[in-house]
Amino acid sequence: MTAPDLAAGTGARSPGYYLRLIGGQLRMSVLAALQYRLGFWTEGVLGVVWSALGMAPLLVAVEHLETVEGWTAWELVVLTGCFTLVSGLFGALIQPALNESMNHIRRGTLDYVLLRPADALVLCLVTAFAPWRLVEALGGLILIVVGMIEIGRVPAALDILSALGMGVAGMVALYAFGVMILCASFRAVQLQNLTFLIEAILDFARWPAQVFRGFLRMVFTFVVPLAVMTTYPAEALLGRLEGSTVVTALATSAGLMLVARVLWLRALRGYTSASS
Amino acid sequence: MSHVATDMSGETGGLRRLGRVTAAMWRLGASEALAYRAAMLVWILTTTFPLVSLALWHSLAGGGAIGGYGRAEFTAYFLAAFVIRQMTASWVVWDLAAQIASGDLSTLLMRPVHPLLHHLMSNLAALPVRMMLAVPLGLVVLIFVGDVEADAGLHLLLAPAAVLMAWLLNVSVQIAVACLAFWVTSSASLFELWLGLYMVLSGYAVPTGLFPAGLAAVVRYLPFHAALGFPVELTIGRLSGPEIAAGFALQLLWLAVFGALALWLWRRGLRVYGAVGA
Amino acid sequence: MEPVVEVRALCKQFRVPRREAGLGAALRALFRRQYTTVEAVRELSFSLGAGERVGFLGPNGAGKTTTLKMLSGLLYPSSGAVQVAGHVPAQRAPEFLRSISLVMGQKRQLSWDLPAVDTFEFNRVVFDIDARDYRRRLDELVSLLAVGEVMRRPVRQLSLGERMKCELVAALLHAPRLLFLDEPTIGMDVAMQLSIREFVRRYNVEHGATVILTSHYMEDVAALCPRILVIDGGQLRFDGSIEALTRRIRPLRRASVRADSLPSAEALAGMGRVVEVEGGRLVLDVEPARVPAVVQALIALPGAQDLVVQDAPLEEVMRELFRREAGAEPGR
Repeated sequence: MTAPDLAAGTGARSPGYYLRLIGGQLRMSVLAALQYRLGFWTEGVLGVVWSALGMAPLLVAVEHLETVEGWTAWELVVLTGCFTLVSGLFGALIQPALNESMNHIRRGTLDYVLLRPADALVLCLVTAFAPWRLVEALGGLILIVVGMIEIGRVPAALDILSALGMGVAGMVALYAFGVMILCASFRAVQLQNLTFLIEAILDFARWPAQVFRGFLRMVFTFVVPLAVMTTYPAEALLGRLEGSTVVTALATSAGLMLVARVLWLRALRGYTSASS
Repeated sequence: MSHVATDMSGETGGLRRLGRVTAAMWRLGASEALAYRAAMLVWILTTTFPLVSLALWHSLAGGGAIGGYGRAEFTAYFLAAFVIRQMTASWVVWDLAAQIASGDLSTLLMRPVHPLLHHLMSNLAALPVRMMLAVPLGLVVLIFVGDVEADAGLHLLLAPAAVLMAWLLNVSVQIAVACLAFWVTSSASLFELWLGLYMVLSGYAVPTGLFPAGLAAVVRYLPFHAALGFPVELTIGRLSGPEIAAGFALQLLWLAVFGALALWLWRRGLRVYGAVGA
Repeated sequence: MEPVVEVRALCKQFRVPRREAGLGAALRALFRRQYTTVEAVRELSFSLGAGERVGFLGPNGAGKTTTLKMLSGLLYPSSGAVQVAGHVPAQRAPEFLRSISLVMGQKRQLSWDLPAVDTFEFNRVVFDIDARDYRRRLDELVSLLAVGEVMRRPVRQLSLGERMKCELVAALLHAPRLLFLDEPTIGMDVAMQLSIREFVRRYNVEHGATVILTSHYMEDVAALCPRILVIDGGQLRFDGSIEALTRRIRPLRRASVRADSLPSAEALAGMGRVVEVEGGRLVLDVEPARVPAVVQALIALPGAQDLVVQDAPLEEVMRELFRREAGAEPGR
């Protein structure tokens, strides 16, 4: 089998076109979201409430132990802020696109998405947004700022850059998993339930990576890099992240995206399209 | 669906027939469960949450017991939570709500068996398959982690009853929420509300006994705890006699409340369903 | 002239898991899945010229839609060659995708909650349509299909016919050279079918777009497509005009008339094969050469009126065609 052409189907499309495409889709999603104004409450506010509720186990741990693996209470607030930010972005950007793509597959309307003159994967990943979930992301940002203020530390420019880099790497990893699940759902519609798996696992990113030992630590750093999504950005802001870790984290995410891309091209080749 | 013989010979005939039909539905449910093995696997993976929690609290308790739970106790707790969660889970809410919304419920209503019974059977029929996938996983973790501290005693005889009640409670809640689909479009998201609260307040993510004292007392009265925390603590032997009695009483109470609610909503909902002519 | 669509020995197989009934079989399937191979398209070959209107006819599951999807680049062929507008569809080159359009009657591309005009605007971005071209084409399509007011209402409030008209606008905004229509009039009333049909014909004539249509409604195909491809069991059974097919399969013409009194059975037997004699109405199949004589005889009947001579209806021709195949290949 010849090496898959990773750029297959992209043709000569400028980045400007893709930006316009994303803009167009965003406009559609915002219009649809505004039709459903209740969404501010059900998706936005409720998202924040969920995040707060999810903090319960962490709070229990902090109450019984002074520090959790060397993280003080306010440092954990920063970590929780990173988590809430990632969770909100996931809910606003990745989850809706995944769900909508899977709806398309179930209804048989993915055909229309695939007929658009652009890279099919990008098309699927921008097919829907949930703007109200950005409220949650905003909440996370506020938590980070509050935490940093209480700790009394102003992060250096390099720290902020590292934190952003790790955040991006974390999002890329989440995108990669989303794509892998999408590919799986081509073959068996029931595998769409794997999105619940992502959400469930994501929950463990609330905890500092140091809490996990041995095998699980490996898994959560290199296979499902929860550490990269929350612990590393928080550590970067706290000035505790080493350069080598940054590099390996970026490499892990890039690797995952590569695997996802290959699986996607395979899935497209075997696409059967719901029968009419 | 296998052939259902109509037996007109009165009471015992009716019971025999019900038994036959129930068995047939069980077989069908089991076949369906096996057919959707991908969904099964996904389900199992999703509910391994307690096993990761196990690793988490096991590690946190490395420096000493937390609120009466040492490493071994945490292991026992979360393993039991994992298995009991598997046994008491159901997905009636999604299936039933979808059937109501799409009108597919009509086909079920035309069968000589109560639709709710159909859903119960489907759920139960999937149990062996779920256990087949879950138990090995639990055993592997057990061997891997090693130390387990649990009391084996007479209370173990009561455990199946508690688990059964927990299952019925879960199913009742799901049916009640699903019935809202007779009136509202997004009843499934209401269930997600319940599920979110369940994850935190039932003892799924962390034993309810570890909550701050006042809060713990309140949380342990709620239906969430009755649906998971109570059977788990009963199984690993952390409850005294009076506590066990109180727990069962609470289970009965919540089961009565949600069971009645579910049946009431079902009956009212059917009237609306018929009126709209779905 | 270079054909715009060229298909050679096209094949498509699907691997379908085989599941037998019963608990035991389900248990076995848990450990070892068994598959059967379904041949959806077998050795299909044809070519179409630019601006043609072609109909795909055939029973359900014959492979018509699968072929259309391979022509659109949605499905990878298992073997064989496909070229559409100078491209290999499966490569999904952007210029290729901008030159085709697929409209599926049973699936919609319009966003459900928003007015159709929002989806049009989105398509403008997606297909990179120049703003002026977009305005011009939108106005033209909207007036042709009379959806000016309808397109501003949320799609979920529209009737089936209104929705399909908007779907057509959305599909044609980027001026595709090829238009693939899969069951476009399914579920519609006759008036709507007629107007959609008329629109497609007019569009083809005015813009020279090649049209491939699959439909269960024979009237759609008969009225719209001078050329038909009959596909059954994934294979091409016939490629040509409807008249040619009819001549070959059912050469007899059908004559019908109403009269106060009808000829005797012997006289009728001499004219042709009787199809129906009831309540003053006579229908019979007549050999083409004898039609003039039979027509004279029928006109001469007392109180004769509503004399019609036509080819056998397309549905009957198709049924006859498939019946013959079933007879010829009993083991398929």
